[in-house]
Amino acid sequence: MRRLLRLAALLAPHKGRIALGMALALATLLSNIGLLALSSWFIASMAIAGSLNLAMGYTLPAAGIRALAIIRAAGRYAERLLNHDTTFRILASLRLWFYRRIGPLAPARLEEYRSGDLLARIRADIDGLDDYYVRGLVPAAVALLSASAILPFLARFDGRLALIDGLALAAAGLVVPALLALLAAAPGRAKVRTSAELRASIVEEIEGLSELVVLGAALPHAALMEELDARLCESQRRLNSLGGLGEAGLSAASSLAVWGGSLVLVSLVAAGALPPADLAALSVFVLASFECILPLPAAIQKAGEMAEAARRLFEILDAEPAVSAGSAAKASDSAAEIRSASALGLSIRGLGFRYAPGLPTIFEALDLELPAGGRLGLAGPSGVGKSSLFSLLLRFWDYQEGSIELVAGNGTQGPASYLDLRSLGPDRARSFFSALPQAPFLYHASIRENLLLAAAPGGGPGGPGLEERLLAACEAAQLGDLLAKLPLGLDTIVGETGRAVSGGELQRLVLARALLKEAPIYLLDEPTEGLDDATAEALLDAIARRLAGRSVIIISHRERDFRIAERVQRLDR
Amino acid sequence: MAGDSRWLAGRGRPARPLLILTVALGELSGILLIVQTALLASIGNRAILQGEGLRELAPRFAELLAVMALRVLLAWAVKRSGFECASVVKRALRRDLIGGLRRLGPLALSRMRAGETSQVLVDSVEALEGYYAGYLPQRAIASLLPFTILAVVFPLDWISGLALSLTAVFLPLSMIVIGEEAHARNQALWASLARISGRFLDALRGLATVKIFGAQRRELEEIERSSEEYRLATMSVLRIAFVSSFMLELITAVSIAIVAVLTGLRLLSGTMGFFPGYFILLIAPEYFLVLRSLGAQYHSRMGAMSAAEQIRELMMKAPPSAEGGDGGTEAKAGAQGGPTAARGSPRRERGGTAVEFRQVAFSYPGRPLFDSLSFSLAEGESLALVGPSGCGKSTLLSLILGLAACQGGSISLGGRELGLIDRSELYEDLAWLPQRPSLFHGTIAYNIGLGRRGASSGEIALAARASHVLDFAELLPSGLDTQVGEGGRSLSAGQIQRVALARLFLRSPGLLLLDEPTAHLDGESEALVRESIRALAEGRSLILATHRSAPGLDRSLVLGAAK
Repeated sequence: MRRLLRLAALLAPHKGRIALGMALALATLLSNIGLLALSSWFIASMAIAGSLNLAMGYTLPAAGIRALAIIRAAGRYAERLLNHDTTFRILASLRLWFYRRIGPLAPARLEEYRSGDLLARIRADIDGLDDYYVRGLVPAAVALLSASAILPFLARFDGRLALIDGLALAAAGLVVPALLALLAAAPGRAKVRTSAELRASIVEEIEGLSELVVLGAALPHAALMEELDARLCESQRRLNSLGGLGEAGLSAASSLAVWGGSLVLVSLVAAGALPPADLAALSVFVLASFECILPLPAAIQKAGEMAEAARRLFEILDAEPAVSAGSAAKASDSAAEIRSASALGLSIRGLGFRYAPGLPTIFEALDLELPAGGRLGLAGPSGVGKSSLFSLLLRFWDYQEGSIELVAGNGTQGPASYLDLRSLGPDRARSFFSALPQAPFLYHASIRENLLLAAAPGGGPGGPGLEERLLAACEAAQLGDLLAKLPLGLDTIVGETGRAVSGGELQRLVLARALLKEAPIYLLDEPTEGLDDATAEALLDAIARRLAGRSVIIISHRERDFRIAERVQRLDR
Repeated sequence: MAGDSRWLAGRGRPARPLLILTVALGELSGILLIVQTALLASIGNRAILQGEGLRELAPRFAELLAVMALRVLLAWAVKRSGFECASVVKRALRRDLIGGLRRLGPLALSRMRAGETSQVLVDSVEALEGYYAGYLPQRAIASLLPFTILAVVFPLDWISGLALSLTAVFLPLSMIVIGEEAHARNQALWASLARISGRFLDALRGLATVKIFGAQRRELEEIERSSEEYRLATMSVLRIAFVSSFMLELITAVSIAIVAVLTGLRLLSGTMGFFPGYFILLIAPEYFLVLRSLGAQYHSRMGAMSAAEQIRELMMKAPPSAEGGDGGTEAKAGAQGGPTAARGSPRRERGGTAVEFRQVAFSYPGRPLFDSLSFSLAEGESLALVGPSGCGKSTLLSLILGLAACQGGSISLGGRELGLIDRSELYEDLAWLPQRPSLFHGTIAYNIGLGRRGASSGEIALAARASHVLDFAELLPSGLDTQVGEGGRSLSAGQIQRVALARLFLRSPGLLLLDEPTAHLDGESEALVRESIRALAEGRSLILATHRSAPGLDRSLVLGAAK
C-alpha cells in the first residue's frame, strides 16, 4: 500500500483531470440512486393522493426525474472518456519515469539477475500498473465519497436504517473482498507460476523438439505440458470458486440490507413516525446504494496485484547505482586538450576490482598502457576479466583501487595531459569510447534505425552524407554483399525475431554500429566471433583501415584477431 | 469476423450441456428475482396504502428471506458452472494446438517464433474464458429473461409493457451497429498495445547499448512519442466504443423516467393500482440490467474474437490432426516421439554405421544448397564437413536425422534406405549435438538424463564426468541438482555444450552427428569438449560440421566450394 502511495506522486501533474474525473463519476452515481428513489417516492405520493382524491403538483418531480435521467447517461459517458484519457497519460508518465530512474542503474544492477526473464517481468509489471488509476483509485474514492453522502442522508430518517445499510455496504465492499483476496493469494500465485511454466515448456517444445525427438524424450515432454495445463486449470478453478463466493457475498449483503431496512421502515410507518410515501423511496434508496461498491471487489483484488508489481519495481529502482556520479571535470587545460583530441591513450595503474565484497577478485594491481593511436590486443582464458575491463572503461562499474586515466598526446610534441576517468560523469566518460560489447543488442527495427543509434546527438555526426556514412560503416563490417542481396537494403527489419539475417551477420551489424560512432578510443570484444577465416581476415583489414590513427583495444581468444594489434597483453588469473 | 464467431461457436460444442446448465441456473435466478420484487412491492403496497404493520406482514418477510437465500446460492452456482463450461473448451483447444505443433515436425517448428506462439497457446486461449463463461450464457439469458419479465408486466399493465418493449428494441440494434465498428478498431488497438509494450521491452534490453552511444535522450523521446501515439489511437477507439454504453444508459434512464411518470399520472387519476405500478418501477431497472450486462460482456467477446483470430492463424500454420492433411514424414517423427526408451544393453559393441549419399538434392526457397551431392562414409570412419556459414552443413545433418526430406537422390544408413528405417530404430542409432543445444527446465541431471530414459543417477554422474560437466557442476552449491533452463541458473555456452554432450554419453549410437561443437567456446572449454568427443567417437562413425579445419578426422568434405 505504501508503495502504491509512492506511485501516487506520478499523478500530481494530472491532478486537475483527476479531480474532474472523480467529480463526474460521483455525480453519475448519485443521480442514478436519486432517479430511482425519486421515481418511487413520486408514484407512492401520487397513489396516496389518488386514493384520497387529493390534488398533487407533479410537474416539479416529473421534471426532476427527467433531469436526473439525462445527467446520469451523459455524466457516465463523459466520465469514462475523461478517465481513460487520464489513464493513458499516466501510462506514459509511468514508462518515462521508470526509464529515467533505471538509466543510472543499468546495466550493472540488472546484470545481477542475469536473465532476460527480469526484463520481461519489468515489462509485465509496468503493464499491470496501467489501470492503477481507473480500476483502483477512482472506484475507491467514489465509493468513499458516495458512502459519506448516502449514510448521513439515511440517518436523518432513522439511525438504524443508516447502520444496517452501512454495515452491509462495508461487508460487501470491503470485508468480504479483502478476505477473499487473502484466500486467493496462494492459488493466484500458483496460477501465475504455472502459466509461466506452461509458456516456458511450449517455448522449449518449439525450440528443442528436434532434440527431444532424436533423444526419444518427446512423449514425456508432451505429458509435461498436459500436466501443466491441468494444474493451471485447477488453480483457476479455485480462484473462480472464491470469485463465486464474492458474488454470493455481495448478493447476501444487499439482500439483508433491503430486508432489514424494509423491516425498520414498515415499523416506522406503522408507528406513524414516517410519511408512508417515504417508505417506497427509502427502500429503493437502500437497494440502489449498492451500486457504489460494485467495482470495489475487483479493485481490491487488483490492488493486491498492483502492490506486488510496485514492490518488485521499487526493489529494482531502490538499488544504489554501481557508479559514482563523477566530480564534474574541472575546466583545466588538460581537460580541454583531452576533449579536442581525435585519439586518446589510456593509462591504467594498480587497478583492483571485484563485483561485490565476497565475490572473487577480477583484477589485482593491473597495469596497462595504451598509447594514443595505438592498437592493443588483450588475450587470456575466459573468465579472466577481459570483458569486465570494458565495463570499467565504459563506467558501467566502478573499480575499487588504482586509477584509469585518459591520456592526450604522446609526449613527442610537448608534455602529455592526463584526466582521471572517475572525475567524469558516466555519460561524459562514455563519450570518449565506442564499443562492440560482448552481448550485443539490436532493436527489432530496420537496419537503418539500429545504425542511427550511433548517429544520435553525442553519438556521432548526423546531417548530410549520412546515408553514405551508414553504407561505408557497413562496408567496413563486411556487410556490403548482404546489403546488396537484401531487397529492402538498409530498411530490412532485424532484431530478435528478424530471420532474414544470420547470426554472424547480426554480429557484424553491431560492429558496423560501433564503427559508425566517432570516438577517440574503440573497444572491440571478439570482433570476428563466428566468422570463417577468409571473412575474418577481410574484416580485420577493414577495421585497421577505418580506425587508422584511432586507439583500439581488441579482446579475443583467437590469435588471428591480434594480427592488426601492435602489442598483445595477456591477462592471467 | 463472422468466421471467427462461427469458429468460436464450433469450439464450444463439447461444452453445450454445461452451457445449458449455466443458462438454466441464470434463468431460474431471474425468475426468483421477479418473485422477490413482487414480494417487496406487495410489502410496500400493504404498508403504505393499507397501513399494515410488521405482525400482518411477517409471512411475507419470511418468504422474502427464503427467496433471497436461494438467489445467493444461485449467484455462486452460475459462476462455477460458467467456469467449467469455459475450461472444457480451453483445455480441448490447448490439446489440439499442441498436437498441431507436434504434427508440424521439429524442423518447421524451429522456424516459428517461440515466444509469440507460446503466448497464443497460453494467453490467447485464456482470453476465450470471458466468452464461454460470460458472454455465451449471458447472451442466452439476455434473450430469455426480458421476455419472462415482459410476460409478467403485460397482464399487469400493458402501457408500461409497451414502453419497456419499445425501448428495448433500440438496444440490440444500436449495439450491433456500434459493435462492428468498435471491433475493427479494437483489433488495431491490440496490435498497437502489443507494439508499445514490446517497444518498451526493447528499450530496457538496449539500455547498455544506448548508454554506449549516449542516446538516452533519443530513447526517452521515442518512448514519449509512441505513448502519445498510443493514447490518441486508443481514445479514438473509445469515443466510439463508449457511445454504445452511452446509448444503453440513456435508453434505460429515459425508459424508467417514462414508466414512472405515466404510472404516477394514472395512479393520481385512480385508473391503476399501486401494487402493479410499484412492481413495474422496481423491476424496470433489472429488466435493463440484463440487457446491459450483455453490453458489459461485449468486451470479452471482442477480446475473444481477436484471440480467436490469432489462434486460427496458428492453426492454419500447424493444423491439428482433425483438420489437417497428411503431415508427411517429419510429422511422423514428432508423433511417434522417437525411440521408446533405450531397449537392451546401454552400450553395443559394434563398429559404427555406414552412411551413403547418392545424388542428394536440397534447397530452401530461393537458396539452392545441393543439387547432386554424393559421398560415402564407411563403418567407424570420421568425416569433417567443412565450409563457411550458410553452406548447408546443418541442413545435411537434418537430412540424415530425417528432420528434412531430400528433394532428389537418396540417403542410406547401414546399407538401408533412410525412408524405410523405422524412426525409433533410426534415432536409437544416431546421436546428435545441435549447433546450439537447448536446455530444458529442470536440473542439470534431468537434462543429462534426457539422453536415455531410465538412466540411473550413477550412469548420469559417469556421463557428467566424461563430458566434463562435473568440472563446473561440482563448484555449484547444488551440484548436478542445480536448476537450469527457463527461470533457472544460466550456464555459459561452453557449459551448455558439455551438458548436451553428456546426454550423448548415455546413448550407444552407431553414428555421431556433431554440429560445430566448439564454435562458440574459448580455448579452455574447446580443449575439454574436443577431448570428450574423441572418447565418444571411439569405434563409431562420426560426421562433424565445422567452419574451420578439423584435425584428427579421417576425411573431410568441403561444402559450398563447388558453387
